[in-house]
Amino acid sequence: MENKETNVNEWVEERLASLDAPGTWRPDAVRARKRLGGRACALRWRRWMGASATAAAVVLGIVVLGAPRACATPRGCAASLWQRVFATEIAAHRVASGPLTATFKESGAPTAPITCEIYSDYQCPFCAQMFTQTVPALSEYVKAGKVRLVHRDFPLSQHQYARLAARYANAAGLLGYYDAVVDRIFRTQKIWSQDGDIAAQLTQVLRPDALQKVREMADSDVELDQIVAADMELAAKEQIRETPTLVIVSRGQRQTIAGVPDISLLKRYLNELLADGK
Amino acid sequence: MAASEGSFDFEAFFQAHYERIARSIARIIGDRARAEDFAVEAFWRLWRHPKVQGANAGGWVYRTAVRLALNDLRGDRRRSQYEAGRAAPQKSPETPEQAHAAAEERRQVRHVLALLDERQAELLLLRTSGLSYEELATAMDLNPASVGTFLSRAQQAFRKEYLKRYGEQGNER
Repeated sequence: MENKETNVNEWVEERLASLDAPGTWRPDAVRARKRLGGRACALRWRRWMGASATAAAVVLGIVVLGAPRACATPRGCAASLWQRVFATEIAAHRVASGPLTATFKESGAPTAPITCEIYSDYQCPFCAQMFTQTVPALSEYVKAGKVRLVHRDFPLSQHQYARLAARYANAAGLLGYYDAVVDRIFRTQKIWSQDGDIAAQLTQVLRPDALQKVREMADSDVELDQIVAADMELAAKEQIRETPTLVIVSRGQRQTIAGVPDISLLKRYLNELLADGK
Repeated sequence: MAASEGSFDFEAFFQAHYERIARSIARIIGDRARAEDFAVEAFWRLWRHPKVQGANAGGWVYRTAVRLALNDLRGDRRRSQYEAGRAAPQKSPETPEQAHAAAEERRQVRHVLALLDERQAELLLLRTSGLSYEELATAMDLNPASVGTFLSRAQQAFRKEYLKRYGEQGNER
């Protein structure tokens, strides 16, 4: 009996040992520590600066409950999220006058009292969660002219293909396909993250000629780097350290929320901001 | 970011465990960048929960990390594509045939882990991450005297599921 159990034990351990990674890989503890430090600083700052007790409580709640509850697998989204959320903006997807005004990344009424800026990394699993769960939940605010959404790129250095994905998304944006491509990139994150073959995942949302143009631009268009660089510059000013990060701007006040916020608390917070503004 | 609790040195704890935890997650999901994301998330949750900071923090953060990894493994509806195309950080076999066989075995093991009862999968992965029976008992909220029994059951369940899916063929290396 004991011998049999020993055999099972050895057999299972042998199977599980097939997962072993070589000892040469060293996870970057220094970078991870900085990311944790950034989160902690942001949290302390939020606690310190809360505009009102209620708002502070709500924001704190957003942060406390903001931790992702599951993996960031895109699922259950039949239509393009950005199409659903930003239906009125599709025609405006053009860069107006240079990289700093990539208007295809903005959605909602320019006069909206609240602006939500989302800093994301296409290879970050929690950003995929943000774009499949939180962003659609804000659609009612966007359609009602209460919230303007701005998507900003913040590719993290540890994500090998994040910058390339941003290039594809922005190239598609310049050509008028931003919403569909952003959605597709997040949905297929796990697949292209293995080899960087983002183009292969876009065949379902772009015609062959459009895909060819997007691919050519992603390969060589320097303007695309400027679009990302502009977002990164803003991120540096905002002291963004991780993704996703949501910056809520209302009446000149900026509130930074790191991680995926709890949707119900986020809505409460937005409602309070809107009520205060009346 | 200092320790959130007077007696608990978060900094020292992080330095002592981060790499090992990130490696443990990478073993499960086979993706180093994501593994680091999940490891950071696990430590962040630890930092946010002062109540679990203390003697039992090790088991708690390992279990959180393993759970995040298993959720990632389970949550992927395109699992077969995901894993087939995955260039996992693994040993370097000598021949293409061996490379293929090793990749196939990893795919099979991950698939079985994703199918297994969550607690059993966690127990197996925590044990292979090097946790002692005592640490396992704390992390999994088990009676220390029962850990061996639960572990044995988990191993048998793993073996049964593996053989059911892949037969003895899967045993060939």
